[in-house]
Amino acid sequence: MKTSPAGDPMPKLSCRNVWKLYGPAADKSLIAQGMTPEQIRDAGHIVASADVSFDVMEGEIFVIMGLSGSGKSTIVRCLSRLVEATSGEILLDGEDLLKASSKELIDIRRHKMGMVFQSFGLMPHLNVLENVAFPLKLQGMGAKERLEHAQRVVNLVGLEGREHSYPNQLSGGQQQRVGIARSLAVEPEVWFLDEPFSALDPLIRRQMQDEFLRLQSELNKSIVFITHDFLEALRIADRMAIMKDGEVVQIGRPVDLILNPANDYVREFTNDVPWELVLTAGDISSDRPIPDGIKTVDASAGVASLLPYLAENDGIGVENKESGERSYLTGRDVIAALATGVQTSDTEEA
Amino acid sequence: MLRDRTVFTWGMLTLFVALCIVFADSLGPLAEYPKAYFLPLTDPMNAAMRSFVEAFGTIFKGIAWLLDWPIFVARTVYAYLPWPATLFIVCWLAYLANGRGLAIFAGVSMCYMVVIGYWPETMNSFALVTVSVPMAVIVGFFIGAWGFRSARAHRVIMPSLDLLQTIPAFAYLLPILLLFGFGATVGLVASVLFAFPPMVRNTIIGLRGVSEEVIEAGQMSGATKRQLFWNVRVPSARRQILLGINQATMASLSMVIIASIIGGTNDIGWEVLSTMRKALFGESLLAGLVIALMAMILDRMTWGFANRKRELAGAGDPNTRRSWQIIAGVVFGLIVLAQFIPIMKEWPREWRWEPGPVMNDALQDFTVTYRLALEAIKNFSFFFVMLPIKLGLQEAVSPFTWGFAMSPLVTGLYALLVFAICGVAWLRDRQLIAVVLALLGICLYGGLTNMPWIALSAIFVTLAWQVGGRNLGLWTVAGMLFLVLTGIWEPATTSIYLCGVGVLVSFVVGSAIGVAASENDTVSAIVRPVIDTLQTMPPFVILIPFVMIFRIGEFTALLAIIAYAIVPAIRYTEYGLRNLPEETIEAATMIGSSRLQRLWQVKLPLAMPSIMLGLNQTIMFGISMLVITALVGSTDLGQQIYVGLGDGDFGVGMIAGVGMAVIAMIANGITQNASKNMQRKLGMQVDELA
Amino acid sequence: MNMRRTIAASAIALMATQTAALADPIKIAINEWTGQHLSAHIAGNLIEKLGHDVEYVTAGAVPQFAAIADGSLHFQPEAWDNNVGDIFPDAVANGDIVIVGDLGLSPLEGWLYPPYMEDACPGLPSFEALYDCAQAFATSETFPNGRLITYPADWGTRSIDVIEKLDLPLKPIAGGSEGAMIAEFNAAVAAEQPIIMMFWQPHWIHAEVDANWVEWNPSDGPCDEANQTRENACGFTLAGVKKIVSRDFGETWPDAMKLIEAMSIDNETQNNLILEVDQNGVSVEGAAAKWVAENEDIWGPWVAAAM
Repeated sequence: MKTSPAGDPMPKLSCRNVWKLYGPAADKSLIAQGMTPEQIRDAGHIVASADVSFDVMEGEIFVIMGLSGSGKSTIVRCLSRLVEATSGEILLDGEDLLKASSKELIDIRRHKMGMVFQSFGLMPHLNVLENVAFPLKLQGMGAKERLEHAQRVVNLVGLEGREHSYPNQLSGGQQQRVGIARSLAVEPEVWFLDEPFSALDPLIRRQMQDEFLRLQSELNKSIVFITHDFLEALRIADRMAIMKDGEVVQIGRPVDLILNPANDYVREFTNDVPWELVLTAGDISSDRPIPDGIKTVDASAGVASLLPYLAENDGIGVENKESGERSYLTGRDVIAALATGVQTSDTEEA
Repeated sequence: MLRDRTVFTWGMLTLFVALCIVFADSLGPLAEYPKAYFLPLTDPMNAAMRSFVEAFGTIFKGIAWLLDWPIFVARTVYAYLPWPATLFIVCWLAYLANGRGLAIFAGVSMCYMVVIGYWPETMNSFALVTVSVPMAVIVGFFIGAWGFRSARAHRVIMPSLDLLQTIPAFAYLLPILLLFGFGATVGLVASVLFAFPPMVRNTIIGLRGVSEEVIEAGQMSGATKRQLFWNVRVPSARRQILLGINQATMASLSMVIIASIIGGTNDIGWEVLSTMRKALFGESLLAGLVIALMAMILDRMTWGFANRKRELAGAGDPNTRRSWQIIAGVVFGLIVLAQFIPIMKEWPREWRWEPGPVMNDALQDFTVTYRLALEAIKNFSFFFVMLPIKLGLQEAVSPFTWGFAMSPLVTGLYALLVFAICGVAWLRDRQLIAVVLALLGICLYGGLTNMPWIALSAIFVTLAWQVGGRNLGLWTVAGMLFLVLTGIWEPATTSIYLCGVGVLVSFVVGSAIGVAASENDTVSAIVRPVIDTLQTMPPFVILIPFVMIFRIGEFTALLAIIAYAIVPAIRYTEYGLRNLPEETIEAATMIGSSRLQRLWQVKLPLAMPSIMLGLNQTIMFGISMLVITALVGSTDLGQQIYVGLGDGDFGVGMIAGVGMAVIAMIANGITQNASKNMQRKLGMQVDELA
Repeated sequence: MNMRRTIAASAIALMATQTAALADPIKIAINEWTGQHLSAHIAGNLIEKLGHDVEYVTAGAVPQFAAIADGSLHFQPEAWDNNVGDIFPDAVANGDIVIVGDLGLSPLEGWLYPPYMEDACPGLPSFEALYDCAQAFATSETFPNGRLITYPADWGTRSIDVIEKLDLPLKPIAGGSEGAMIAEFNAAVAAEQPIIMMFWQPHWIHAEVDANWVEWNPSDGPCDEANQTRENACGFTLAGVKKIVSRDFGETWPDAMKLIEAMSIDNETQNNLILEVDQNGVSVEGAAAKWVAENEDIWGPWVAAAM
């Protein structure tokens, strides 16, 4: 792992104070004047993203979550320079991507980046294998070599046997597998996924998420994953950012967001969360001695899995393997934690 | 509020028109623009054309010489191939494009062409099409790509296309003849000029329609600008571009037929024209059928290739490569065989099937047997529909026609009737309808061709302004001034009247048929081949039977217009009614509507944008037919175009042609905008049918 | 020296004639009507006897003048000199088209009606009868005047002028096109309906349908169409039917030129051949070849003139 001069691990991809404005006279000067997003909007411009900053570490799945219009698609397009940011820096391995010439940019895209799109973005005139080999073809790789290479990626995503089908002959899930395979064909270091599973049925979506996690465990890419689905974000994120009106509201591990939502906006998302599935024993146990004759579980155990035991016993011991800390979790603790969620939604109703 | 203003506008207009008609005699130049002030455009235009030809004639003759070569090659190849070989190749291509059905259809059709004795002529026409389509496609594609890239180019290209497509083809045959000289090149150039606009339109639509994500996917794959265009955008727009080729092919074919009036190609269009000039109804119909069949085959084939399932393709597939070898082998075998079997080279004259005379006799018998009934139909429509619209009730009503004179008493009764109808509408809170009815009542009294030009222009300008906003309104003002100032107002109003009545009838009857076809599959199955044939048949062919039956005159012209213009009215109505959102219909059914209620209160209002587009196309077809009807003696702009062509007078023909285009573009603007307004209101989108 | 001059001269001649190398075929115009097809094929047949190649090219009656003027076509044996617009006289005036002479057809133009109309209007064929029984020709559109089908408007307004000059109770209706006029006439004859129509001869219709011409007052010399009155009504000035060739025809094919100068075809010959073709189903080529085979005594001298 590369490290910064200070010795900290260096982020693979950094987004620093990125703004994207649309409008008749929307340029850097507005931002340089230090105007707030509200002021800029009042001046008649559209603020698609405002002062967005975050880091993506090597091998990390970084999820950007937001509702439609929150600017999440804009920011991922700024990262890939499909959209030119109005101001800010985007550092890939420490180099500012925004300063790359169009030739350098093409080169970076050909070798370092891959992207998956919501509606797949497949070439309708090419079959599965040709679609996957398409980026290689653009690089000028020979036909035989690129088809062999593409075949390997097609196998990786589990599409053997459909190589010669055309996109319109495939189901949505299969099409997105093609999209994934294509984005992986160039063996990118950074992988952007723009709502890749939003267009799919819930059941398929679930399968694809598992598939995605399996692939990542093999490939270990640095990933920016966009979604509007909070639960999806919770499932796959190492860390996540929540965006609203072009601004980042909160960044953190999923559980941090749930337990310590930065504001009511974030809290609203956590309402729908089945807490017993997200919370672990360690998250809510209290620092009390464990009575005798009580079973002890690991701190990372999901609360849901403890419910049968707690139904018959007063409490359960919790042990953090890394730190060796031990704590105690009672049924009442669990009920209290779950009640927090109910409370918030009650308040809201009132 | 908005409604009140609209009512007020139309009310003022009605008042204005009424005053104009009452005081027509004292309006002077505002009623009838004096001849002395006509813009003398024709002479300078002719002089300009002459000096242009003198200056650049050699260049154009050179181009003509170059263009002659591909035509020559294509003709030689088709003439060399024995007909069974050509038939075999076409059938195979038809099979590839659209399966067995089309192959059989193509085979039978081509056998017909052989047996009827028009094979060489057909091949000559086909040679022109095969040269002109690739040229039109290439030109159209690059202009389309340019229009896609540059917004400024787009602004220039679109109106030019409108102009090219609305100026009647006959009007630009003469300048092409003068520039390029006599020969097949005239047909080629005319056909390219006529065929490339649809290619441009489809290219632009196709390139624009490529989804943003596909483009982004291309960019993220590391495509350079050039790769992005040629490897991503163009192939993704493939279907639309192929549709453009399909439309270009059809346009090219129709133009090749029209251009044969110049001669020099010995093609099938010439056969149609000369048999038509000899009034050989049967023969011209048979030759026309050849063209219709050729058009249908080409249409289905290009359409098939555009929509073909991809798995049929795959050039690298060893199976297809082998089948190509087989094809080549068979063709070679047929060529060799033809050297020994003369029938395969040329179908003997004695073996021709010649049903023409029988058909002529049958038609003649028909006209003799039903003469009285036919005469009655004609007189009825003439006295009670056409004359009133053309001359107005004030002149059309006479003892000879209606059995009584338009005395002050009758006039008063008429006024009372109109007033009563409007009053009822007004009381029922339909103010706008009441005002429009009053306007129509006044127009019907005055007559379309008798109205002062200022009044008729005011009606068109108001309509355009109301429907299409200020821009369209101003364009309409300019268009009307053009018609008045260049001195073609009189034939132009005749054109408007003929086309107007034709469109009215086509639209009413056509929509009714369309409704029936949408409700009943049997009707639809009967109607479809009929309208397909009507649409692909060269329009000249329609004229002869109508002349035989109804004699020379406006009524025959009207029928010919209707026969041609009714097609889009039927098609768009059926299409619109059959492609409504399923859920809305289901909802209407669940509410408990009867079938009729569903049709009138749900389906028709929802299908209105599509029906409006049908009206638009009906008008366009009607206007394009106007030129043809001049052949049966209508005295409108179409005749001026012939006068231009006949006298070699570039200016006269061109001004009449542009006048026709002006009318067409105004009508187009109004109806397109009306359809768009409705689409916006209903929140839906309707595509133009190919 | 002499040799060189000859070569130079012929080179210049070659350049002047542009495309007219010896191997080039003589291109003969084919118009839209059968009579002209026959004239063209008879002429072509004879020119072939001189050893020249002949090509028949379809050409519209007006575009053909442009074609002959620019040398794309070389020869038209049967050009009618009325209703031809500006192109023809202009081209003749500046020498691009050369008029070789009359073909020998005596054309006739006038008003045509079917014989049964003489029952309805007893004074016919004299034009005087039309003053009295024009109503016999009336239809609902023209009542009380008689309905006269005129030439298509783009062929000029001669009938309209004559009606005005003679003050006849007829209403002119433009015929639209040749086909429409013939269809009109045939339909009327088939139903024995009234009809009177401006028409011309020779035309194949005379071989098919029985029809009479309206007769005018006898006039001395050619009819002065524009200055007639009821007293000296003479109807219509006769058109000429000319043999025309392109500018360089005489230089390029002097023998063919002599043949064309000599050839002539009369009404009777053409009407008979038209009947063969249009009624008896003989091909144009066949009818022309048959005539040539049977009438060497007629065309022999023409070819001899060329030799």
